[in-house]
Parts: sequence; structure tokens; C-alpha cells
Amino acid sequence: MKDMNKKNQIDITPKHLFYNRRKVLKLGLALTAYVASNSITPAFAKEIFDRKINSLEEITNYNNFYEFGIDKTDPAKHAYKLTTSPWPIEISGLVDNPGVYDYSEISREMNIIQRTYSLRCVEGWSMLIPWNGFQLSELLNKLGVKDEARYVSFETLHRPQEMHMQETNILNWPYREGLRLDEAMHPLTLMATGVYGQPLPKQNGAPLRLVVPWKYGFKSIKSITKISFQREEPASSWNQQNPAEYGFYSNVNPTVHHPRWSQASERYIGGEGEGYLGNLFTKRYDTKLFNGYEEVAPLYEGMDLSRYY
Amino acid sequence: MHKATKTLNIKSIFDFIRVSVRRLRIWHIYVSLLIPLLLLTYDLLSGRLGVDPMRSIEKSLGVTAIYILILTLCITPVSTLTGINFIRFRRAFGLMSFFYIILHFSTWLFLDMQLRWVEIVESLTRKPFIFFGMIGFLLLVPLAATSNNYSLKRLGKYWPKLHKLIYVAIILGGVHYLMMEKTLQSDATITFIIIIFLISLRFFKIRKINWL
Repeated sequence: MKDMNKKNQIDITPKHLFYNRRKVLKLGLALTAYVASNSITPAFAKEIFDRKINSLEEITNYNNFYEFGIDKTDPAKHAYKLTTSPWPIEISGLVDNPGVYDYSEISREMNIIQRTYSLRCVEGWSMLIPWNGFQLSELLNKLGVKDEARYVSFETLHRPQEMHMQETNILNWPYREGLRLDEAMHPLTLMATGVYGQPLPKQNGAPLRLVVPWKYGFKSIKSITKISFQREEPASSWNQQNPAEYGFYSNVNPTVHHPRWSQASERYIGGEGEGYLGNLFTKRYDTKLFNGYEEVAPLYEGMDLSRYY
Repeated sequence: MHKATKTLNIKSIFDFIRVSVRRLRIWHIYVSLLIPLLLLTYDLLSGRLGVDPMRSIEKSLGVTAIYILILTLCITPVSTLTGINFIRFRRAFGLMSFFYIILHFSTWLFLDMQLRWVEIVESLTRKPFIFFGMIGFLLLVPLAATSNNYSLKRLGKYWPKLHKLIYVAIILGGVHYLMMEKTLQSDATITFIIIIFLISLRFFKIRKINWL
């Protein structure tokens, strides 16, 4: 296994981060060291970084994880019931090395990197989250995806004894998501194994979740137990629940209208002030195409994004 | 003998309620209906509203408004059933509900939408749940404006007709609540069922329960 610190030395810290040090220092020295070593991709808009990185408390107490309840505070209350070890992951379909691997086996093999991404929820809010994890492409290369495969599909754990909402039919359980293979192979696509350098909290999708920063948050499926490679476009839970509102692609796009929430802007959770009262005055930012990650645009060249939403 | 005692007890309880209600002043209702707002303020200041207090406040104000409106709808049937006259409190309930709706709407306009007019217009015209909420609110404006003795006299026989708009407004409010989230929520569903039940009561002739 590669040394994590060594890996971080080659990562670039954008200039504006130095200027924003003062803000960051408030969060403590350890965190400063962490942020300074954080890898941020070039297309990361400066505007996004004018926001604070969300605190661990914010990240772990404001979650959409319907397996544990509908309210954003429910996952923090109920996710402790989840058993994450052992964590078998079933790899199947058009792949050279199918089989069942434990999460510990997989994560041991991967280069753990750190990425701070904006998470844009379809409900019109966003957060800035410092993930750690590995590039999905690294896993796919190790597994040896067959040429015929065009899509990859993911499934969340189905265990109603620990995830009580799976007893209800608010969604077609288990939660399913999918990506086109080129999306999955994109260097921005992350398999997160933690936040703030710590293992992933259960309410954030322990032990392993997807993070696709240019798509609405619900594409970033949590607590993955199945990965499969296939020729056809896989099913995704929200698309099955309400196809008019949630498409397979679900790229962040301010021009694609949604019947419930305005996608033209987003409320950044985490106010200018300190503590809960400071969070009362959240600020709205204009939402950008692909959540500002313009480098993914070539993936969709020639596609009508209002049709393939 | 045993049965008679029991009847007597219920009767005496209701007599006690009747006397208490008679002593109740209208300002007591206004003040009591400020309690939800005080509790919400307390929750905010003590950090109980979580990471996104704005959303909690917005929702809580809306839910409080709809529940006070539900109480307003309960006044007539409960008065008829029990023979206790609650009607004189009805205006206080209606106006306090409207007060919470104004707070709910202001939270949305200022703290949530932050006066981004293009998106506000888009929301009002293209987001069904916001559209329904807004129409419900607008329908209540003339009702609140005529909830005073002067208008009551001035409008005469038209006053009760105008105030039937509350049925439309509360249904719109219920639909607004029902459509708010990605999936059907149990609390919004229960609220909607209560609304429909209370409105359907208007189609039946309710009589006072004899043993009261």
C-alpha cells in the first residue's frame, strides 16, 4: 500500500486556498494540514471555493438516506444499527474478475486520495465535502471490465432489520443507481471511503459509496454491496419512482426544469456565521452546468441534455 | 345506579368545561396561539433546529398555520356536538393561522428564495406545489381582511358566503403540504385526511349529543 502522505505531496493546492487559510485555520491545525494536502481538480470553480468546507457535524447531520428515514436528521439517529463489517461486495456481469470481495480487501488495494467536492442535491441545496476514497476507474481497471460492457450498476445493501424504511414501499428497494461506463471511468468519479480523513460515517453511506460530483446527489449511491457490468442502461431507484422528475443521467443542469425545486440556484448549507444560528442565513449561489465540473462536458457531446436529463 | 353515576360524571365534566370556556377571553386564544412561535424561537436559539434552521422554520411555520386552520374548521362542529359555544373564538383562530402563513411566506421569500425574483416567478408559475400554496394564501387574504365586526355588518349576508373560501384554501394548503417532498409523507397524508373529513362534515346535519 502506498503511503498516503507521499501521495498527497504531488497534489496541487490551488492558490486561493492559501488566501483562504484564515478561514480554514479556525477549524484547527490538523484540519489545515489536511486541507492544504487536499487534491482539488483544476476545473473547480473559484466561486465554489469561496464557500467554507462544511464541518463534520454538518456533513453527518444533514443526510438523505431514505433507508433510515425521510427527514434529514433521521440517518444520524438510526444509521448506528447498520453492521458494516464484514461487508461483502458482489461483482458480477461483463467483467474478467467476478466474485464476492470484502470491502477491506478492496480498499487495501486502492490508492486513497482526498477530494473536496461540491455536492448538489436535486432539492436545491449544496455542501462542500472533503472526501477520501479512490477513483472508481482504478477499481474497474483492476476488475477488468469486458469490452461489451457499456454500463455499470450499483446496489445498496438490502437489510430491513437494520434499515427500517426498507419495510415500507416509499422506494423500490434496494436502492439502485447506474452510470455509463465512460462516466464511471472519468477521473472525477470517486468511490468514497471516508470524510475528513476518517472512515465514512454510517449516515454518509459506510463503508463505501459513490461520489459523482457533476450529478445530483441521489446518483451518489451509498453503502454499496453490488456492482455489475452490463450492456443495457441499468435501472435507478428515483427514475423508477418518478421518471418525469428524475432521469438516468441527472446531470446538474440549471436549464433543465424540475417540477418541485428551482435548479437555477442552490442554497449552500452552512451560513457565514458560527454555529447553528449562523446557519440560519444560508446563501444562494447560481447553479452551474455539471455543477461547475466542465471537464465532463465531452462525455455528453452531441446529446440533447434537456431530453437526456 | 352505576350507569347513572357515570353519566353524571361526564355531565359534570362538561359542565365544568362549559363554565371554563365561558370564562375564557378571546385574548387568551391569541396569546396561546403564540406558544408555537415561542417554542420555535427557543428551538432555534438552543440549536435544536439542526444544520439547516431555515428549512425547519419554514416547514414548522407552515405546519402550524395549517393546524390552526384545521382548529378553525373544528369550531362549528365541536360547538354543535357539545352545545358549548366556541364560535366567538373562531376569528382568533383564523387570524392567527393567517399570521403564521405570513411568517411562512416571508421565510420563503426572504430567507429561502432571497428575493431572487426570476426564480420566485418561475416557482410560482411552474412548480405546482408552490402554486397551490400561493393560491391558498391569496384566497385567505380577503378573509383575513374581513375578519372584523365592521366588515361583518357591512357585508351582511355575503360575509358567510365569502368565508366559505376557507374550504378551498385549506384544501390547497393540504395539497401544498402533500406535494412538498419527493415521496408521500405520512404526516402530510394524515393532515390531508383530517381536512377532507372536516369538510365532509359540512354535508351532514350535526346534532348536539343528547347526554351532554
